[in-house]
Amino acid sequence: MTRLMNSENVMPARRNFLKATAAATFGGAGLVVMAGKGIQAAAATTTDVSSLPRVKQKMVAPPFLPEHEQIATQGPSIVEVELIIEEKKMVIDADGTEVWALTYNGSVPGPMIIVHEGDYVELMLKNLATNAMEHNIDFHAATGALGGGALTKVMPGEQAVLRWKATKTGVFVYHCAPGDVMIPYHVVHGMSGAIMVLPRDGLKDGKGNPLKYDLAYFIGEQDFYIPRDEKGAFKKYETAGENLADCLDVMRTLTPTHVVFNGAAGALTGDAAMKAKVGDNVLFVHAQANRDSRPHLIGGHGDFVWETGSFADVPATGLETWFIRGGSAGAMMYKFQQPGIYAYVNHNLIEAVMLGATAHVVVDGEWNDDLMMQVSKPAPITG
Amino acid sequence: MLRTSAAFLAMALALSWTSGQHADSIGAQMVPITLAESGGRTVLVSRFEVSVASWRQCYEEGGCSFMPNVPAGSDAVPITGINYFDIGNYLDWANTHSTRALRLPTIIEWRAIGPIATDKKRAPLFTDPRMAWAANYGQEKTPSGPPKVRGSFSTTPYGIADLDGNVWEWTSSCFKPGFESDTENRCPAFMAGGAHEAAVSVFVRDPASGGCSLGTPPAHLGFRLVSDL
Repeated sequence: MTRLMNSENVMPARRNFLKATAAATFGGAGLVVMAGKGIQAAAATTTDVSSLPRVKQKMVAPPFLPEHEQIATQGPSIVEVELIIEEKKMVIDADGTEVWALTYNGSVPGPMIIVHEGDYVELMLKNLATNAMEHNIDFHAATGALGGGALTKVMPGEQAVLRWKATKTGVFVYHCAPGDVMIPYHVVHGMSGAIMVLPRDGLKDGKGNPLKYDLAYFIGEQDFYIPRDEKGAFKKYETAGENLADCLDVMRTLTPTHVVFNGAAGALTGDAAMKAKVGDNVLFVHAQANRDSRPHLIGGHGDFVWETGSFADVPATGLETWFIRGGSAGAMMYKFQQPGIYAYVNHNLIEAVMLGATAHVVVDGEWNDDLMMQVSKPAPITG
Repeated sequence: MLRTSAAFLAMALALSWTSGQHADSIGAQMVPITLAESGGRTVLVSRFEVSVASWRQCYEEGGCSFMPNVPAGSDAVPITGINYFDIGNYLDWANTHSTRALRLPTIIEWRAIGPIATDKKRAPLFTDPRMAWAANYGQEKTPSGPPKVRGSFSTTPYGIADLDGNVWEWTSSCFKPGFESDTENRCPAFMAGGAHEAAVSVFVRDPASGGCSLGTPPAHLGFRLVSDL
């Protein structure tokens, strides 16, 4: 696997600057490895992967999910996916505020990957030659080598392939973790996504009954920390990474300037709002790689909620609001009962309304007067 | 770009309101507009929304108690971030410099000042009357971005600029009738004209963007002066 290691000795000078902090990191990472030294490796079951069928999974941009089976119809496979890292300028609010986003496949968040328990994910990770920085990927669903981060460090113009076995079911964050302050820096510039590892026989309600969804959406929540100039206006930069010193100062406050879904305030509203019909069972996967969140569906509920993201656990039922720990993903399933507009928010309402964490679901169907009706319209108080 | 005809411009200049040294920064460049919708009445309408420079003058002279935080170099940009009470202060101040009674337009007048190019109205999202609360979702386009130098958006054939811009204009019309003569029950929200009409609470200076309410909020709140002939 040594060929997968990055080639630090051939880095151009410009990249040395961005790489500088990363060198220190491996010290920190080393401590983690040391802690486990001396522990006897468990006898892992090994599979002859060369005999497994290979399936290519075409990535799609969030909030949509790639084509997949909810219940696996065949045995374990090697699921091939490709993520192309692209540093690109993106506009994140209606005022035209810009960020040089660090992206997997050009979107914030990166695309959802879906496999079943026992499948192997074989990732081709490419860092475009036009990029400025070193990148990698840490899968929270993977086992070993810092989630794969230690084996996928790619400089601009490099690629690496990582294969790992999906042994835990649930929804999990993946993110870039190149080292030291570049870890949070990359994550707060959009460099995270999620993977869903389904049980081979699909989701269950905890009592043995199957749960199937008609639709599914992936909501990646992103906190941004945009530096301001002396007048208080958000600063713009010519190149990726140029904001590093300014941005670290803002990050240190732990106070984001933006908290958004799908990369920008309003990105899942209006014409881009999520759609559903009355009677649809909809799965919402919510990922936050850095910071706590508390999703809430205004006008609806969480019928089944895997708050920690683990499908091995019994889902909670009938929730008003659920919690997504920073650095995790969770899943919620809801069957829509009424038509109209629903707001899917981070129910820290300051973040929802003022920082951008609001999405909408437009639901078609017949209104049910039994569930709700307007008995009298607003009118002057009469008594 | 102003597209006013030369003849019309001449009339506008002849009728333009002046008031000594403050004319340019308060109410100059008013255009007579005959409002068919108001029984053929003619009112003077400012070509532009009130500027940052004019508001600053009001603030420095003590007429306005609130000065929004505006970027440097934005004197020619419409003043925004002001609520209904702030505008009351401005009007009191401006009218001490004026021989005319400067005021906000009513929403009826505002609509008649146009026409502005509005988006083609799409079919309502829901037709069931019980779904009226959600029927207009996604129908309203909101010009976004920071306020721009006055005249950056469309100008009507009569020379009125920026009615379709990203600054919504407060009017003197309450969002629903019944409050006008009731001193005990003051109007809690007034209509603002813009790319779509909005009812805005009297105290709001900065309409939230991207919020969880359904209507698309205005991008910015400013105002335009009118005066009766």
